[in-house]
Amino acid sequence: MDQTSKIVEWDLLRSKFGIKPGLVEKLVAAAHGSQLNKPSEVREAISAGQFDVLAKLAHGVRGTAANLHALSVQALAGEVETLAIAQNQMAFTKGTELAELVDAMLIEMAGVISGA
Amino acid sequence: MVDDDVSTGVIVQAMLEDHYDVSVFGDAESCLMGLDQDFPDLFVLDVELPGVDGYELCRRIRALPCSKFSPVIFLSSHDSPSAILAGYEAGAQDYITKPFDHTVLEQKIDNLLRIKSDRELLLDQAESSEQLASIFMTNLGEYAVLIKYLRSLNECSSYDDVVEATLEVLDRYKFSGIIQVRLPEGDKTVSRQGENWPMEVAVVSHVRDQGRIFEFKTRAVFNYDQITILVTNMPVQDSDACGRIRDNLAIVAESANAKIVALQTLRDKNRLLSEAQYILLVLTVLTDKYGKKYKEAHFNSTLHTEYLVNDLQSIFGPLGLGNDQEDQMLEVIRQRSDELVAYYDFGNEFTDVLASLQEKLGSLLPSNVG
Repeated sequence: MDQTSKIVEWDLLRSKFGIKPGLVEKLVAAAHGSQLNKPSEVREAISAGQFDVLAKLAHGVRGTAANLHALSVQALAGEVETLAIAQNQMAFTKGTELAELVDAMLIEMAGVISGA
Repeated sequence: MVDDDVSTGVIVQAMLEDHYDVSVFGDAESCLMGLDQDFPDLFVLDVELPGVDGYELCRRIRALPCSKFSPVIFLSSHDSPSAILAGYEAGAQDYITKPFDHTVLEQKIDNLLRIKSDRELLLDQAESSEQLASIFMTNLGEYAVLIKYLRSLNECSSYDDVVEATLEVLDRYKFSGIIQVRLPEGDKTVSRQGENWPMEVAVVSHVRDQGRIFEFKTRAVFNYDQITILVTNMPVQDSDACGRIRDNLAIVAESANAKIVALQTLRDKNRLLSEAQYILLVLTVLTDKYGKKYKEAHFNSTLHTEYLVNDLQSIFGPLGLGNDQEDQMLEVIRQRSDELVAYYDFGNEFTDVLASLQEKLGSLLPSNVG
């Protein structure tokens, strides 16, 4: 497990959920499964210029990131959601960043899952 | 819990499963379908759901009669005041925004479930109170029937009155039954069908010696010396009502029995009174009649003695008796005549005794009689 990653606050996550054996691993596995297609879905929404779909996707990413203590993802997803609701073109730019960040988070999570 | 974000479901389930049974659904439809099998004590809902959103789901849950006390907590990333207010307007009791602290969620769930439990307890108590009040009112109604019956007994002046009043009690309690009263002149078996129906007479004859209170299936029998009440449709499915009615009917039977005994006593007394009046009348007539007869006999014996003396004096002359001889004979006759008349003097004593008896009997009878 990469404890130095800045995407998921692993120490914080373990301190919070480590009291239940296996919960962190289960949570990461569940989150990984639910977020796996999100980067491509975000990119498709951006390509299609669909603010409403992008807003919903960003909302979902924000919730999962919050549960994982992935604070940077949570913050960026929140920003994209707000911009998309406002139908601001910046939503697409930030959305692309979000997709990349989620990709990175998935790689990080995959490392945890394979190491578990 | 309903949340399409599986990570939230994993956290909530893991944190609550030690204390609660947790079911997690990914959308509103599957949650609503699951309610048919098992209705939860509490809901945790996300706002953003595929298809029907959390607000609408909350409203649909609230529309279900069985959700009366089941609290709803929204757990959502939507943290704007309008989103939170919309949650409360949809019928939720609480709203927690993501990211959330699971200890706060647990505490809120504990609190809401305690409130729910308290409300259910209060509802149970209210229902118990209502039931108690209902039973009390029913009792009151049944007692009113009983009191009315006891009052009506006071106004009964015949056995038929007692039977009719008792049948009326059975009517008021919505019972079918048979009443048999046992009188010196014979038994009388009565129901709303009529009087002395052979089948009913046979049934009562069969149960009248089965003890004071005898029950068999829906039948209950109340036996007293002068009366038997047989009820054929006791509400055996309601043991409380059955017990109350049994007590009340026992009082009815006992009171009716006492009234019949009282009527018999009154009848016996009236018969004695009537006989005493007759005796008094006969005594009065006899006293008067024989008083007169004794006086007449006394008077006649004195008169006839004088006639005898006079007759003897008139026949003494031809006989040529001396004065001394005549006087001596007359003296003997007068003496014997006086002794004879004296025998009739008891006549006063006899009429005095009769008069005394008459007076005593008269004082025993009510002043308005005789």
